[in-house]
Amino acid sequence: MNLLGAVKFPPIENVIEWPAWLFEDSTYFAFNKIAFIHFLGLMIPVAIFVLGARGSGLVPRGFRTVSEGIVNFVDTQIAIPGIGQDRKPYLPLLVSFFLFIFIGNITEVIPFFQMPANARMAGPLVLAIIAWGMFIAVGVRQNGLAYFKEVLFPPGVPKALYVLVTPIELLSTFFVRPFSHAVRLFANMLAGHILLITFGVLCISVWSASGLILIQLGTFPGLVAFTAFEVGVSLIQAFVFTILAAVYIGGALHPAH
Amino acid sequence: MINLWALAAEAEEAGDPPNPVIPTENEIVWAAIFFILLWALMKYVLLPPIMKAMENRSSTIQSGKDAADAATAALGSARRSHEATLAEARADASTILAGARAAADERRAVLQAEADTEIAEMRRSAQAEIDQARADALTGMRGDVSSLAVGAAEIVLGRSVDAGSQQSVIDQALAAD
Repeated sequence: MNLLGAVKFPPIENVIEWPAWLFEDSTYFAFNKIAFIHFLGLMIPVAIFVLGARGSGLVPRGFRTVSEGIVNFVDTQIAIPGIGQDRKPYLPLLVSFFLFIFIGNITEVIPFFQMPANARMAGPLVLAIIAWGMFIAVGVRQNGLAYFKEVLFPPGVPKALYVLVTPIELLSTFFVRPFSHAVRLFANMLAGHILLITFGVLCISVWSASGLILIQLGTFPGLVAFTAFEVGVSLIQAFVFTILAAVYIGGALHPAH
Repeated sequence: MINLWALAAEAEEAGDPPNPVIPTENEIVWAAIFFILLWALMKYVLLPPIMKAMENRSSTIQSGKDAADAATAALGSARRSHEATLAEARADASTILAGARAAADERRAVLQAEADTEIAEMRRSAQAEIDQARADALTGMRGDVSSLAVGAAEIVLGRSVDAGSQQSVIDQALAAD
């Protein structure tokens, strides 16, 4: 795509698809940059919590502060508002969601990576399906098959309206919810990634075209500002995905509410 | 149901750019493996010691807070007890002071009464002495006055006057004074 005559944007596959580093491309175990970011999403929390577990004493220090801060944040800002008093068994899942997604997002602004793993549909879809399976399992374990009755036939609704409400609830809760949950994260991160690429390409193109140096005064600060903005988006999207998972689990625990 | 992967394969064969919404199998596999591993480690290995440490700290802080609350309550109780004792001592002191004042007033009244009695007695005694002296003086003077009056009457009358028969007249004259 050409813009402003001299600016040439790369094709979409060049900025979201990555070749395999290990195994063959187009195999189930092709290990590329996205898989490596997911690997970091596993290893960085493991490192933080292993180092944090070494600390002792009444006042936390070093990695203990970081690990406890993360747990405390997820507990007080996500688990308690989303689930309430019965949150403890679900805290590991919520902490895992938050850290895995945040690391998968923040690589968007880290040199060498400059790609959010969640700008690919696979990661968000896997996480959304796990959240979906989890809240259905929780609902059934807590309420038995009456869970489905409570969700599909909400109490307090006039019976005549069930003709409308029940299909809507069936679609929204059990079919649309995992996709909306995944697409919300994926689309935000992909949009941010394309935005940063756009400004990056503009900066490079304008820098190389000496006659357009004045435009650089707008594009480079824009790139810096959007990079900072994407740091916030990375955190917010991790928070939003995790709190939605918590709300779904909380809703499954108490479907009548 | 729509087979997204079949559509993606068709698009690829047709030379269309890849659809970013279609997930790739290898990324799904790695994301699932790494996330499920993280979840399992978080649940069974990583989170329990952190949670335990946080709960221990919470309970330590709570017990310290409880001890501080108990100490504050004990301090309040001791302060109230101290204030009650102080108030009781003040009340006792007031009672003792009032009693002492009453006793002093009573003693002063008794002493005042004794002094008044003594003064009255002394006054009465002095009055009696004065009266006695006056009576003695009158008695002494009556003989002299009788003699003088009889003498003066004998001179005036030119004859002797019986002092015994005129004594009552002389006594009346003295009594009239």
